Amino acid sequence: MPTATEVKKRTVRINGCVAAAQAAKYADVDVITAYPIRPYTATMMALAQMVANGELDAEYIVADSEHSQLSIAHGAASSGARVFTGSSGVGVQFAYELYSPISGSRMPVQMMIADRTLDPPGDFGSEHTDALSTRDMGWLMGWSCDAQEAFDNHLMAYRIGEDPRVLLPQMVCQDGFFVSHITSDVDLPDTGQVKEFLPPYKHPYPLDPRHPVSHGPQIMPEQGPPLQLERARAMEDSMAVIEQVHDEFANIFGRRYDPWIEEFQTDGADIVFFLQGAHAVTARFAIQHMRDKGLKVGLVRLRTIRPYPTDRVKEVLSKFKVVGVVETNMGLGSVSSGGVLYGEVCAALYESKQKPLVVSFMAGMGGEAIVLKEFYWMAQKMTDAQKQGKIEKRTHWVGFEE
Amino acid sequence: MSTKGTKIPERLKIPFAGITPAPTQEKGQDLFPTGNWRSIRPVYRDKLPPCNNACGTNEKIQGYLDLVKRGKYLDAYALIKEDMPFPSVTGRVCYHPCEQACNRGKYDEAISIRAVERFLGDLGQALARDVVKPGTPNGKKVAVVGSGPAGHSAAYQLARLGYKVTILEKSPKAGGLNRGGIPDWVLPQDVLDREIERLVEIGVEIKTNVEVGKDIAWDDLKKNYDACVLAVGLIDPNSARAEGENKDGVLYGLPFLRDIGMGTSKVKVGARVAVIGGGNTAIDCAREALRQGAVEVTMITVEANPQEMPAVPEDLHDMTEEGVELLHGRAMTAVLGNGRIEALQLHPARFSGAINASPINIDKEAKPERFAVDNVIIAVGQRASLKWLPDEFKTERGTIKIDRFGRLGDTNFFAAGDVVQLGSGQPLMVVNAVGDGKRVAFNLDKVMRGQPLEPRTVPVDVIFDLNRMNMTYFPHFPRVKQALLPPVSRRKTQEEVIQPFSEEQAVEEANRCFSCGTCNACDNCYLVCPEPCIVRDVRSNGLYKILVDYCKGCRVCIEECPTGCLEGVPELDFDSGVVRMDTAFAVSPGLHGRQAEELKNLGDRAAKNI
Amino acid sequence: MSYTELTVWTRGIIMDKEGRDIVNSIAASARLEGKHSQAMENYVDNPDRTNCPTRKYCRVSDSVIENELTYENEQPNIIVLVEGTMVKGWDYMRGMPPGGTLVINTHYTPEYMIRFVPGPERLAQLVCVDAAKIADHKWLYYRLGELGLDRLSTEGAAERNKSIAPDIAAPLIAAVVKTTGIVKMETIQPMIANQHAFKLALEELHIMPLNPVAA
Repeated sequence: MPTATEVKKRTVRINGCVAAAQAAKYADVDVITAYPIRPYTATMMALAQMVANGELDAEYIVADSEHSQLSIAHGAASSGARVFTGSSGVGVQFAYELYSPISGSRMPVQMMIADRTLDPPGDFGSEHTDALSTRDMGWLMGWSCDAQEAFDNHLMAYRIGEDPRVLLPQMVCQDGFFVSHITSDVDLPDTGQVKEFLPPYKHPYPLDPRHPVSHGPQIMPEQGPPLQLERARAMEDSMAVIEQVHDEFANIFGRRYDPWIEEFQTDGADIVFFLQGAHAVTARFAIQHMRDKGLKVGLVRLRTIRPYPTDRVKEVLSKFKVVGVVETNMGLGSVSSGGVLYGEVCAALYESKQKPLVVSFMAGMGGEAIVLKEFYWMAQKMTDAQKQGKIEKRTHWVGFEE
Repeated sequence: MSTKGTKIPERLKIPFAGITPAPTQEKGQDLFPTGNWRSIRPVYRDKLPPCNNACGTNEKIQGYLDLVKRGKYLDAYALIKEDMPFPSVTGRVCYHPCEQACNRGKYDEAISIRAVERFLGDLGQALARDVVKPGTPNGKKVAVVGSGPAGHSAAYQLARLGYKVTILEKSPKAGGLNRGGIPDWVLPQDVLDREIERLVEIGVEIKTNVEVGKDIAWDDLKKNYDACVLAVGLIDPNSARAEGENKDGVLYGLPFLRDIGMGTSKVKVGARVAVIGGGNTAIDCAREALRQGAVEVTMITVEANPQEMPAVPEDLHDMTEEGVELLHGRAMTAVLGNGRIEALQLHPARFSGAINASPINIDKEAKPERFAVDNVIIAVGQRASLKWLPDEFKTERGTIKIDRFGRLGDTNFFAAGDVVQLGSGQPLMVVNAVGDGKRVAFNLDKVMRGQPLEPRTVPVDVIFDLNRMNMTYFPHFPRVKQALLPPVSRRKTQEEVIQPFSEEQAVEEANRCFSCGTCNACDNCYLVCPEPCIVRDVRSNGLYKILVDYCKGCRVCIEECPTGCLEGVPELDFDSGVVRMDTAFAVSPGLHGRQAEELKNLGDRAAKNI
Repeated sequence: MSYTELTVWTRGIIMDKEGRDIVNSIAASARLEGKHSQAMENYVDNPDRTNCPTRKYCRVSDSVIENELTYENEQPNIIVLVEGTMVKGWDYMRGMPPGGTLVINTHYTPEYMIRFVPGPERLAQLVCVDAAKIADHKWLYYRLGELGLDRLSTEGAAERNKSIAPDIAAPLIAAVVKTTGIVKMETIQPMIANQHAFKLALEELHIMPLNPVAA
């Protein structure tokens, strides 16, 4: 398999979409399947240009829909190709039929998700519901908060997903516009570094006429449980691999990320924001200002949501008095009548001896930016709850309440 | 209960489930008045078609062709009558500068405009009452001296303006050159009579056998009339300056034709006739000679070849078809014979400079030719007979001295027609005389009413360039040709040579008109607009309205306008006409809230039974 | 601390690259000078439509830009209209604090153009520059087919011409930098591909001073 042209490391100013494309180029993917939907389209276009001018040697297939896109990805991965694909919003849901087969057949396809609110009506702004609605399908999933992290996550995801102990597909998610379309500085590595970090992809049982196998036959119901058990085992085994890979990454590239949780100014904090994705950027500024005014507030950012780091979440969040879950997603009719993160946080904290108050905030819905004032408002609600020893209600709608 | 206690601010209110009211053709999509996308605004600007421009009297040719296309013959006839009093005459005799200018001629073949005008003129003649009415009488009296094309036109327009007009005609019959200079097989007598009847119908009094300078004096004109138009024409023939021109059998072109036309001719032409001259009068003389019994007719010209002759090519062609011979590059230097013409003496000759506009160089050294004839008709031009005119109003050239408005100094006398157009560079044509007569009538009217006379200074945009129109919509069609009498039978009769168009032919030919630069309601813009933002308001000859609130300036209508009437004008040239939006995406904040209100009222409208 | 917002209004596809070049080059220059800066496009303006109005934003600040994730420039100090007719169609002056600058690409004079500007009391200066003529662009208002340097609708992800300001953006950048000093001339000039147009524009600006703001 030919390798990508040798490049030296450098810093460029690119947005999250182009960063994802760069990661695919460094990973020297073999097959790219694409179908345009904004904001993911920018990645698709950047990759097209790379393939067109010879920077990247890959098979570029424009499918006739997201469903076909993932089907082709599945087929390509089954034959042993490293596959890169992506989508946004309703496109992610169009391909829904394929998520379980891909993860169940242990194909490490990588999908770049640039979030977009689901219809109706048409809204480009970022909500996480599109990817989150597939969270039980067995894909590794996590959010980045800026372009550099997106690039790094893509490289790590291939390493994790293709590891023989794991062999699971990955959704590397980033907020539409906030990460995908805002440029920031990204350090791009040497190809040598990437070669060192990411070995070539090798599936144990690819579709190969020389060694024929069957993928995905019909089974009897009693054969079902073992298969599901193995899928669950793979997801659990991935946790150790994730931690190991983050270590290796830090050693080779010099950037260290906590695989599960980023804590910001949580020392001695009474109240914390719990969120994932790009709103952490504004949250950090807000927290800085609030800390300057003497409020003991911090930020806990979830980097990986699948597999869910239950123990780690329990350990971290138990330190605080109030946890405010900032939900940029819709879980209609959910446990909190709000989003989906709240339920998982509460379940993680169930066995904890010191359970903080947990309240959730619907903020940034429809892709609206969460402004500093809103963070102050949320902090006020949490402080009030702390004073009164109980939450006002499980879910607040930020901007629509007094 | 998470939504308890929540309230949505007014400006963020959205209609139920994001449903919005539907766009309509009148109101368009309220949310996005995309008119502000454009940098070029399409504007309907009618330009002057070259036919209207070239016509001596600026008939609205494109206009009447359009009406004929649509079967509105009476309206078309009325349109011609605004500028031209006798379309059934010009439909037969005009040398059609309009057809020369017709843009279709650059594409395949020019429109046969004259034939359509004849069709309409004859239709008008058949009406019991003409469409033209005299104007409200204003009590002023005007004399028009001469009943030729210029005089007829001036009298016609003045009568329509309300003047009491009296035409003073020196010949026994009215008509001027129409009667006496144009043969019957071009313009039959009864057609002309009918046109003159029409003149009388609108209140013009015609006095024949009245000659100014003999029956009525210059001062009588001044005394008895408030104003006067002199349209006396060029009635004296020029001499060929040959020896022996006074012998018997020597005829002059215009008197020859005039006497035949008036019915007073006593001439009997011999078997062999020569015609001196290369112009249209000479051609008419040659062809008339055939019909008067000549066996051999030869036309002798100084011009070196047929292309140099100032005659209309079609008439030249018809003439040679009838058997007339051409002899080029010679001038007649003497008439030979004993008291009566027996032969001509010819010498080689050339124009010293511009053809027909410079002295003739006769090569006297060369051997003269002897050309035997029974008659010679000399048709080398005419001049005015102005003995009755005070000298202060005479020019050196022998024409009447006028200012650029056709007025004699400060008097209430005006002059029009050949008598002032000689030597002006304009060809001497009936239609030019008509136009002159018309303009002089309007100038006279202004002077009578004390209004200042202003020269025309408006720059006029005439479309000559086919690239300004869109030729895709015009497939090639050949010109519909008028039938002609067979050449052999022509010389035996005074029947009209050129046959008229039938109604189908007239419509077919009018259909070929491009309607250069003038909107004719073809609906192309309306159909191709992608928005659509062209509305058909009132369809009388195409009035379209462009919804400037929505037009994006895509220019499809401008490109697809077949007539080139639509132009693109930079939007910044207009002060207004654009809805200013608050942001690039929505007209104003709170619009969704308003739409929510509108939607509430939708429920009141009962659903139709499908 | 000085914080400046610059908004560029341009037209989709045919002038999209021009708008991007302006904000990207100014943001990059600001970073080279050690300031914080951000350059992005407006997210909801679909730029995939020829001629549709789109906006590009730039923010330059001495300190960290905290409203990095907000979608629009709420209070633009400098407005650039890449196509002159846009002066009529939108309320681009919305939110401008007093002392702003408006730069328009047009052959008309500022004295003529002022009639189209809504709320000009907030302007300190109105600048007109005939960018199309200076850059000798083959762009004629009358033939849409000649328009479009790039004509790629990829939101900047892929470009035909990777150089910065090879065409009419160069005179516009010159106009902005000369009349507002948002970045230094020496920092930004080397980035510009069309140096000739850049230098020529510095001579051929028409600046109409309006309501200066007390320092």
